[in-house]
Amino acid sequence: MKANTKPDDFGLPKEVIERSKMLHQKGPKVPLEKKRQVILGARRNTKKILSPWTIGLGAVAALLLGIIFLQGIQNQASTSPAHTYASMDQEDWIIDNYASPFDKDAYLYDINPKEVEEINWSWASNMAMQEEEIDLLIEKWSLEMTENEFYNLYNL
Amino acid sequence: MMQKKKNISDLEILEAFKGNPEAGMKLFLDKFERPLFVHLRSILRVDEDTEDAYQNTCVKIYLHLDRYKGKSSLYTWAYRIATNEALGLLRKRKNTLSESDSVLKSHKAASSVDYDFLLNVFHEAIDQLPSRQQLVFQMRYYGNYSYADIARFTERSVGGLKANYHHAKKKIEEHIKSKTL
Repeated sequence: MKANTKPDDFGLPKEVIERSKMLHQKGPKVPLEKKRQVILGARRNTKKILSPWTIGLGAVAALLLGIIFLQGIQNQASTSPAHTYASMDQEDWIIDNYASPFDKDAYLYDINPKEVEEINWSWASNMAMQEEEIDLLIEKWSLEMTENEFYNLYNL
Repeated sequence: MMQKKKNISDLEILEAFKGNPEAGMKLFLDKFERPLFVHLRSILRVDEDTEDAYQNTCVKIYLHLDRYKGKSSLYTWAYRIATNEALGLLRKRKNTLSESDSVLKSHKAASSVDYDFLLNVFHEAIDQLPSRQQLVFQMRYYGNYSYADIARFTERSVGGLKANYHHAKKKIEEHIKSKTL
């Protein structure tokens, strides 16, 4: 399904918009049929690389790395409890974990601390929380709107 | 030249893939290679990035097609992989965007209508958007996708996408104003 709306021209001349669209709609430089050899070769190459020996060695290596990693976490936990999520500032934590470097500044300036406090942080700090849910929340805070205003604005 | 089978069904592709992965993938490419490329191009604009993303997408699809569960159509599944690939490249591109990449520093339009300059300003404004806003803006503006389609490809809510697009537009407008006034 395609959108049926007239795009905004941002006050730019028609020629500029047309050239921009042309650049976004150009065909491939190399015919796509030629790319097929590389694409179809991927599976053959993978098959060759993944012999039982490779898989076995990989599993052993992964196990060793896992043990080292877990030991590292245990050591860190016992020597520097200040790095746990619970002790971090909640706003910093969410920004550090979910915002891109560009976004961080914007969020730091836009977030309304009062609304941030209202969030259920034990839920938000669950790593299983979806990135888009975090984005939506941040979007809402950054607009400093009530939930109803936010939902009305975007016809949710 | 052999005519491409664009009307082939998902089921036929999957059946062929089960019997012979290479033959199944060829059928998949017959149907989807062009649309996937066009989709990636509308987001990435740059030749090299688009071709890299296209190749990575197709390789991922080829290596994982046997794990496709049929919860969505093959088209949605493939576009989702392509969109994620494009988002990854946009993020990488943003991290490597340095000051020297900007051709606009201390440059003002030489003549009353300098199309190259304005085109650069426009593209710079897009490139400076946060990756997700950039992705949504380009899919909507250049790819002409509906919010419902973008939501399917990105697994996000339509409302969130509208918010992304709205912010992207505002930032682009502000950037163009700051560079041209």
